[in-house]
Amino acid sequence: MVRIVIDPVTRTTGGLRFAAEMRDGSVVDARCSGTTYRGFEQMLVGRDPMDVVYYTQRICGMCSTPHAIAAAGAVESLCEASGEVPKDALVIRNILNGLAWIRSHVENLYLSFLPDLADPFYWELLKFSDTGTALYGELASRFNVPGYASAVMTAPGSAYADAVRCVKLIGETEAILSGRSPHGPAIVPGGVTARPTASDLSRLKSNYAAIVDFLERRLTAPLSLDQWLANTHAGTPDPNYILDHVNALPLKDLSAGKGWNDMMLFTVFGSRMMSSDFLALPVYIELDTLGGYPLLDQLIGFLNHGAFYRVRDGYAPLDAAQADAYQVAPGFTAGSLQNLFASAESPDPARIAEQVGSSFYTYSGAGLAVPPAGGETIPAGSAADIDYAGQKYSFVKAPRYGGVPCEVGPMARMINSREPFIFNIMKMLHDSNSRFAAGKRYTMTSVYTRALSRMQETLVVARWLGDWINNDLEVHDSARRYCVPVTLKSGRAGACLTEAPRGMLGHWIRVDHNSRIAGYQIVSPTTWNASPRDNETRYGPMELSTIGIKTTPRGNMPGSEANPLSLYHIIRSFDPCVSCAVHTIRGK
Amino acid sequence: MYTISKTMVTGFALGDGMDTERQKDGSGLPAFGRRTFLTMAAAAGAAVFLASHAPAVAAAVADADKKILWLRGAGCGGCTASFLNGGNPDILAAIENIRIELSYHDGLMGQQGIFIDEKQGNTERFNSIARMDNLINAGGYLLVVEGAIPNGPDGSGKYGVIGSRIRNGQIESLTMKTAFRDAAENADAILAIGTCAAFGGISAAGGSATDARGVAYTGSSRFKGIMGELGMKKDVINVPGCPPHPDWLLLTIADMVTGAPIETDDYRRPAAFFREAVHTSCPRRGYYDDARRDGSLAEGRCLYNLGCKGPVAYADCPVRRWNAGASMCTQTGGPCIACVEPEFPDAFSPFFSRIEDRNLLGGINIDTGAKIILGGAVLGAGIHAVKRIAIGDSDREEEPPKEKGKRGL
Repeated sequence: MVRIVIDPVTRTTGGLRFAAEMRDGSVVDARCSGTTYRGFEQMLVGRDPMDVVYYTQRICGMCSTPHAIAAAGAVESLCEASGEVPKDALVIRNILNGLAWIRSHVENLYLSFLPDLADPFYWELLKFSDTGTALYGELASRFNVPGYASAVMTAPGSAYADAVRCVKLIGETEAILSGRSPHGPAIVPGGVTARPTASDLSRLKSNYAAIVDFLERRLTAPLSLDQWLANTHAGTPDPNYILDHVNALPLKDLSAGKGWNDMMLFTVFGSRMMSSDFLALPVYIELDTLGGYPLLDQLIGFLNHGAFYRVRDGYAPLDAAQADAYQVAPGFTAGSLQNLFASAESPDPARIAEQVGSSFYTYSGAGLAVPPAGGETIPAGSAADIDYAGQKYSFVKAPRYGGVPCEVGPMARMINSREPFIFNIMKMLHDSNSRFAAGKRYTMTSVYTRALSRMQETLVVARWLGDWINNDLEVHDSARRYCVPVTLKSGRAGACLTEAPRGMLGHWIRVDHNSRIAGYQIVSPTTWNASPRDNETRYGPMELSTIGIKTTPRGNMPGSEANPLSLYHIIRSFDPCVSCAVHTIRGK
Repeated sequence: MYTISKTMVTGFALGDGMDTERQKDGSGLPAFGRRTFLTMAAAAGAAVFLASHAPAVAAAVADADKKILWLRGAGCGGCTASFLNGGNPDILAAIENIRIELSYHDGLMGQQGIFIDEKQGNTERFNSIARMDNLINAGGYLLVVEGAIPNGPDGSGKYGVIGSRIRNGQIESLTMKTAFRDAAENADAILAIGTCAAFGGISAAGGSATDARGVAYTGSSRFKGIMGELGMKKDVINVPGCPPHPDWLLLTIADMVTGAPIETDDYRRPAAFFREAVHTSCPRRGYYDDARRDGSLAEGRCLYNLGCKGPVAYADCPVRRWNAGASMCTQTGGPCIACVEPEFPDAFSPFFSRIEDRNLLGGINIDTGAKIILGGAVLGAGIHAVKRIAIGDSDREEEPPKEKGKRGL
């Protein structure tokens, strides 16, 4: 028995610890811990509900906009104003949210997840063939973190540098409408404060073009964004398109100029199925064998709510039954993935409840699973109770949907919308199990599918963003309205569910008879993904997805416990954000 | 004039004129080795200064070749996000070319903490905690603190754990409080960035049970800063803001790694950035003077009646603008919430309530208070009077007398 503890897991927002017990070279038990308690919502009790946007957006410096949208939505629901928010305000919120998604995905991919592919371990693995040498050269020269010891260089990779510049550009674009980024003040209950001028609009359009230029250069070249989506996403694309496309790429030269953009490099060499089974290539990093949900006896689900408003006046904050209410439709798919050829189920927000059996909290009542609308949190009050080896081991709670732990985020959304590119990749993985020799077992969901989902979703959202900026946003004139006054009602409750880049985000508010906040509860994406065990000792999704894996994608190599890349790949593929996950409120 | 530490200014001929420091390469640019960027940036206007002198700033910092240990406590990561938005010098250029060596930053570094059974795994090449230990042992770095430092429960600091470490053959949690204490001990200089690290900020807002502290201050009290709690006495520069502007961060870091003296205000904020009220140069100032003040959001005029705290918030947002000059809060119609001030957020919320309605003036007559503000908008002295009240006069008495009068304005 060997115990590996990763603490801190870096290149996240901090406060994440992951422990794995290894037996005979495989992970047999895992513990995912949030190690910071922020007491964020406790401070909201007694405050003016209008203030919740500016407070809760400061939960997260990356997802400031989604938190602002959820908080404004909760107050609008409380005030019964959701149906009144003007169209122009919703367009601006969509633009700000779309920019936040693209920025978050670019940051996760280039600053957090992909750099692990430049780890010196892969040099040792790949250096024995020309293709392998060329591949590692590409991985290191594109994805290396500045100052980190890849085997061949210490300067930041070209893609890393490119991404940092793009992140900065996205911040500038957000600020045109939000005042500044992060933590711009433009989103308020009732709408937005911004009134775009003609010069704002022209700056937005030119910045948008530059963002698309980055995405095309990194992810779709030589195809344009529109061409790529037309071939893989729109309508009913040809399932063989992607195979034909990668088949045509030259193996002598893996440079980006030859069609090996970051997405193609990853699609081919991040997968044993694609590289070895289909293309008969000698080198690959089998991320398609890691981080999925093998058919153990524990249930898992994929869950998302609606995201991005329709371009019209008003919206429905919690009406998941209306599949058409949002650009991204709400959905739930059971983890067995038996029903992929039918549509996703429509989720019922009332089935969400949180448990604290393994979290550093207690509930005052007898209930073991408490819905967020009536949620409470009483943190461990003494230092002795905070022991990461104990029965309780995390400041993250365990939300469950009808008792089932759920993965949220880009892959869940792509599964629930049956997005054609990801659907076809998953089908290829599934079919490969029967087509090729025994022992080559792939799960449909894995680190590979998760990262590809994030790439594809970035491109899809970028396309929508173009519509909102170029077609729907208009210059301010006296006929346009951006904000409706909201009237606070006493003794009521409100809620808003939406999607942040990392997955489902919900805010619940209750006010007392003086219209002051009596309770506030937030369930953020990482609360789902990084949740600890629940009262029935079911693992959270990140924990479950590591059970059975070896320390590296090639098994246990000498000394690899001290550099367990499999765990790094899996954890970072979830894009965990512990700042968001450990806020919690004392209800009552 | 306030200096970072004695050792860092040794050999500096303070007060050298620019004329005597022309570069010998014939570029005509002033040499920055002995200059404080902040003072010069303030004199020239920071945007103009940076646009014209970025290469020289870079060259000066390159000579310093200083390591940075960046610790993150209870916060949102927004300071790092803002840092990555850095305009001039471009943040990558800063890391690559001007060799500000970001030696430890848990959000950006390649390494992670790794332990096998009860032993530390690997060396600092792969292990972030080993790297932190080595940095601290070697000393001589600039310590940057982002986020507040949780002191609870019961002073244990265990509400904020930032990693593990091995002590006496066993793995144990490393709290932010302990990591800060160890890192501060051997630091050449300490920079608290963001309002959480500078003053507790949002993390220490009323109602939170985490007992979160700023580095040198909590609110406007020096006794309640984590250094007071730990019995430490070290100089700290504060660059508050929620988030802080990247120019503030980069220029202050540049000043600190080159060992230049930094002129600060009462709360150890670099005076160059935090000298004027937001209100003074607000893009909507004309509407205020014309008494055209909005009664509801998104009407496009002065935000004073919607609770704008611009008259009592001291920062150069209106002249600097944010995100490469794209905009700023009041320009886009959001009231200023005074996120750079020591008593943010409690003294300034409800955010949509007028300053005088907020009882910011400590119980003095509302009419009188309003007059002070109206007068103060024109007369700087009035503003300072209001500000002193707003930031909590009672706590100021805790400051040792010798700290007073250091105001460099």
